[in-house]
Amino acid sequence: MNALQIASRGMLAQQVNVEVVANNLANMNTTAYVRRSAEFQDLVYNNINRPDKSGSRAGNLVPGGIQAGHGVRMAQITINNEQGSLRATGNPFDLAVDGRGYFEISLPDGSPAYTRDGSFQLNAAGELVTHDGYPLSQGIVVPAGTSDVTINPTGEVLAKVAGQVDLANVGQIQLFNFINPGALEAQGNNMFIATTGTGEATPTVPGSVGSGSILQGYVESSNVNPIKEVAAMIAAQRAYEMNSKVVQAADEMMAPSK
Amino acid sequence: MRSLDIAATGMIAQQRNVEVVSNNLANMNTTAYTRRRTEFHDLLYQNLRRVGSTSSNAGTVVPSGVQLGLGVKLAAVYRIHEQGNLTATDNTFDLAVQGKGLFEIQLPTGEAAYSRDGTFQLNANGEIVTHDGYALQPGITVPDNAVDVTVNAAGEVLVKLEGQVNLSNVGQIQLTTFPNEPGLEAIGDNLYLETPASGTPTTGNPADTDFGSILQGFLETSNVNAVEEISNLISAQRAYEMNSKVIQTSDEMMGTLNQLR
Repeated sequence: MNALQIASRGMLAQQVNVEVVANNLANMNTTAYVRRSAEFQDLVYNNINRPDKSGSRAGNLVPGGIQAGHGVRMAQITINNEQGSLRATGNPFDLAVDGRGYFEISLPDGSPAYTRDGSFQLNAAGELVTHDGYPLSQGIVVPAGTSDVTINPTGEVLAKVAGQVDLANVGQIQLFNFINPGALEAQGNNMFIATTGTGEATPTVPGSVGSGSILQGYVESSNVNPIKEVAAMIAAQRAYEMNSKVVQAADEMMAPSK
Repeated sequence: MRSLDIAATGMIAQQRNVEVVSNNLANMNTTAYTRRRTEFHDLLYQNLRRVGSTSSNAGTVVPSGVQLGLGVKLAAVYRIHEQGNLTATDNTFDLAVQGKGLFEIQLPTGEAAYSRDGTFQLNANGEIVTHDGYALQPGITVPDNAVDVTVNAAGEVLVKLEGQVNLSNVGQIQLTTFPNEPGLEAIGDNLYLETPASGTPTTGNPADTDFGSILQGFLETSNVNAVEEISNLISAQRAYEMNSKVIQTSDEMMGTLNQLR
C-alpha cells in the first residue's frame, strides 16, 4: 500500500511548510529578517509502463506510459531578499541599508559574518559593535570626546570631536555583495556566513553602482508579509488534512473485510 | 511539530516587546527617562539540506538548501540616549543638562551612580541632594543665610548671602561622560551604574567642551515618543495574535493526526 507512505510524506512536507510559516511569523519584528518559503519537489517515479515503450511490432510508441509517483520531498527553503521597510528609530548608530549589500562583522574567531541588521552600538572602547559585541570588520572607532556622529549615505563616519570645527572622518563603512545571496548560510543572531554557493564577498562603497546606500537613524524591518503567511498557513493546513484523509482511506482499504 | 515551539518563541518575544513599550509609556513623564527599544534576532537554523553542498559529482551546487529556522529570541533591549525636551519649572534646584553629561550621585553605600535627572533639593545641612536624599558629587553645601542661589551654565553655584553685594561661589557642579552611555546599568530611581560595557567615566566642568551645559529652572523630559510607542504596541499585539494562530493551526494539525486512528 504505497498510498500510506506517499500521503505520510505529504503530511511531513506540509508540516515543514507550517514550520517555515511559523518561523516567519515569529520573526515578524526581527530587524532585517528575510522571509523564507518552502519549495517542494516530486519524488522518484516507478515506471510501471515506460513512456517511450513501443506498444506494437509496428513500432508505435506508448504516448504516456504509467509512471507512478512516490510522493514529495523538500527541495529548498528559499530566502526572499526583498527590501524590508525602513523604520525610524532616532538612534545615531542604527543603520539601514537601502538597496543591496551586507555589513561585514568579525566573529570572535576572526572569521567574517554578514548581516543587514544595522542596529549597532558602541562598546567601552568606542568601537561600533553588534548587540553581541562583535565589531564591524572595518573597525570603526568613535574617538573619545565626540559629541555627535554622522554617518552619510556613502558610509563615511563623521565625528564632531569636542573643540574642533570640522567634522573628523573616523572611518568608512563598507557593504559586501554576493553573486547569489540566496546561498548565504543563516547562523541565527541575524547573521549569515558565506558558502561555496554565494561566490566571493565583494566589498563596495555604499551608494556606488550596484550597492545600496546607508541611512542613519533607521533600521530595516523584516520583509514578512502577514497576509501571505496566514494564507500559506491555511493552504498548508488544508493540504495536511487532505493527506491525512488519504492515510485514513489507505488504512480503511487495508482493514480486514468483515 | 516544530511550529508549536517556533510560534511559542514568537509569542514570548512579542510579549517582551509589549512589556518594553508599556515601560516606556509608563515612564513617559519620568524626568530624563530614556526610551528603550527591543531588538530581536533569529534563533538557530537546522540544516536539513546544507547550503552550498554539491548536488552531483559534476560539481553543481545547491543554491539555497533547506535551512529551517527555529524561531526568534530577544537580542537586546537598548536605551536610546537622545536629548529629551526641556520644560521650565522655575525651581531653583531643577537642573537640566543640555548635552551628553550625567550628574554623579553618591549612593548610601559610597558607590558612585550617575543620573540625568536634575531635580535636586537641599537636605537639613544645606547639601544638594536627590529626591532620595543622596548627595550630588562633588558635594555642594548652600549656607543657611543664602537668600538666592544661581547655577550658571558652567555649573558654578553662586549664592547671594544676606548683607553681601557680590555673589559668592560655593561650589562647582561637575558632569561625567562615558564612551558608551547605553552600556550603563539602569538601577531604577533614574540612576545608572558604570559597567565594563560603558567604559570608564570622564569627569569635567560643564563649561568644558563635550560635557554639556547646565540650565537652571529646567528639567529634561523623557524622550519617549508616544506615536512611535503606540504603533509599536499595535504591531506587537498583532504579531502576538498571528503567532497564536500558528499554535492553533499546529494544534489542529495534531488533532487531525489523532483522528487518523
